[in-house]
Amino acid sequence: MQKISIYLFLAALLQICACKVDSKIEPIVTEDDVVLRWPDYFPAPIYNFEGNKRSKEGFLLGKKLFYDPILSSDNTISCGSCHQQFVAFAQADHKLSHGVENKLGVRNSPALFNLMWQKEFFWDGGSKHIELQPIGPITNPLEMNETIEGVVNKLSQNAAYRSLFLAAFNTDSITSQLMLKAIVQFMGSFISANSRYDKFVQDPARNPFTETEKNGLALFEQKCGSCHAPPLFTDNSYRNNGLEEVFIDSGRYRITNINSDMGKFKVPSLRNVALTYPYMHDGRFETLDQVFNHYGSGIKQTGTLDPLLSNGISITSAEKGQIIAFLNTLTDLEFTKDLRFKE
Amino acid sequence: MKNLFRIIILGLFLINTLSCKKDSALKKDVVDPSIEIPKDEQKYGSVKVTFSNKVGNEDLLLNNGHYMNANSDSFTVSKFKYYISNVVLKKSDGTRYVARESYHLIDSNKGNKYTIVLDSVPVGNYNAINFILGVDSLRNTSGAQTGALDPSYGMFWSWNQGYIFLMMEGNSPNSAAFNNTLIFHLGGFTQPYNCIRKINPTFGTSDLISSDGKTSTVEIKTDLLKMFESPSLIKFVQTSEGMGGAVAYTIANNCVNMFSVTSIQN
Repeated sequence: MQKISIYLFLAALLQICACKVDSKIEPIVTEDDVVLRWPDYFPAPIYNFEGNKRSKEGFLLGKKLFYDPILSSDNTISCGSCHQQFVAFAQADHKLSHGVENKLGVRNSPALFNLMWQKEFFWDGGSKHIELQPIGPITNPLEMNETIEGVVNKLSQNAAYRSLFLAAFNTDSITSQLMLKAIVQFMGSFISANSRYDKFVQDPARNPFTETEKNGLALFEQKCGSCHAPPLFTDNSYRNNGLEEVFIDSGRYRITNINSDMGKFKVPSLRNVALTYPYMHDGRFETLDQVFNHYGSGIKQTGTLDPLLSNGISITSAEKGQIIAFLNTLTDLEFTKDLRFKE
Repeated sequence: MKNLFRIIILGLFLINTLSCKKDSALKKDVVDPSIEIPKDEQKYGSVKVTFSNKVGNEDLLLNNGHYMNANSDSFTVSKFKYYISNVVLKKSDGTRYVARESYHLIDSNKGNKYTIVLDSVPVGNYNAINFILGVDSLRNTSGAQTGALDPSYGMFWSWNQGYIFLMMEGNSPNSAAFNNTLIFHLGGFTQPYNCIRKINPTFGTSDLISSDGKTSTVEIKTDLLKMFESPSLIKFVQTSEGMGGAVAYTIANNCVNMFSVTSIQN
């Protein structure tokens, strides 16, 4: 009897070891892992994966593509090079990001999360659909500098990819459409909704805010919330927030050719904002403090300046501290440490 | 909480289903023989719509053909490609045949003739054809596409995303641009510079007749010279480049006159 117990114990040990080895090779992703969940106070998503049915295989293929420099012309830069999970898929400490041959891009890498709720992409909204968005960085000469044709050719010559496409889409005939859909099955799954703020909203009795955080929330709603509107902490609009007297980057105008769009950029979500420094479309501000100083006394008056900012935003230094305390509650470590998304 | 998620997911499915319904409602003017005539009695023919790329009356010759625009600027052409989509045939009683999944990329580099085959055209006399030069705005914003709309054909703008409807590149000694290049990329599907153009070339006096089991042909000439002719005369010394925006918009207006029916064979 005792012998049997020992055998069982050993067998169990072996299993545990085997599991550990397994998980090193491939973080566990089950069918349940790819089910998307978000809180009931989120609006209806804009992208529903219509025509792009999610599956474990599609998710894993998308993940491999996201982290694979094969998408760049010289096989050096992947999506993950400029979108790092530990900073909510922004790029840590980079005003601008480096592309192939160390070329410097012109805008700050945006954080990637809650993309299902986003109608347009890039700082200027030049991409109108999440499935088309990856074409931008893949083909930008300052980023991955590849052609869509080139990527598809490289993937088609790769036996591992052919079998992954076969598993995900039932065909090993790789097209740009399937590649883009797979990337979106991965990237579109980034949902950040487990911050302390979310836990507070869901159950304030069990997850209370401190007095400072509560005051910060009230101040935030009053002074910041009309553009950075909860629960997504953006209203997805384009605004000129008074950074320039002369526009070096024409922003939204570049897309619409409409004069009133000159110098406007997309209002970014403030979820995870404590992690996603540096700030603004060109990464000019290193700290939240600098951002507050800008809104307090640095606004530049131009014809397209957002009317809400024409007198700046008056915030005392005590208030600033409270708002920053609140902003810290928007950090979602469950998201930044989610093993499903780990490289 | 779990129940809430279930309700949300259910709601999403509902929204999905509803929007799907809307989609098919958009295509309601597809001639559906099952409604009008019992299926076994409906008869069909095929129609070939052939596009020929010309410069005036000559076949377009890439790189080595020397041409002159209406302003007497000489020029050569290195690229000429364009999207034709949403082909429709009309009968005089107003009923229409709407081709399904009708997206075609015509590229001179692959030959100057391009044939679109319309299958299952209900028999009858058709007195008009129309199509879009470009890609409808819905398809510009419907996610990753395949077939003629595969972005790997280089007819897709990656930074201001959407299809390039017509691409013409070449050279002219009158062009002030570097290396005297001409670069015209027509695209953009939003105001104020929407470059989608509906084209209605006239049939003249003869009808296109779709007959049971037979193939009829409409030949259409695409005259590149018309890009620069009217209503806005393009002078290469002033205008040698346009990628979307006002220049593309102006040339797109000229392109409405680029297509003419040269023959109908029933």
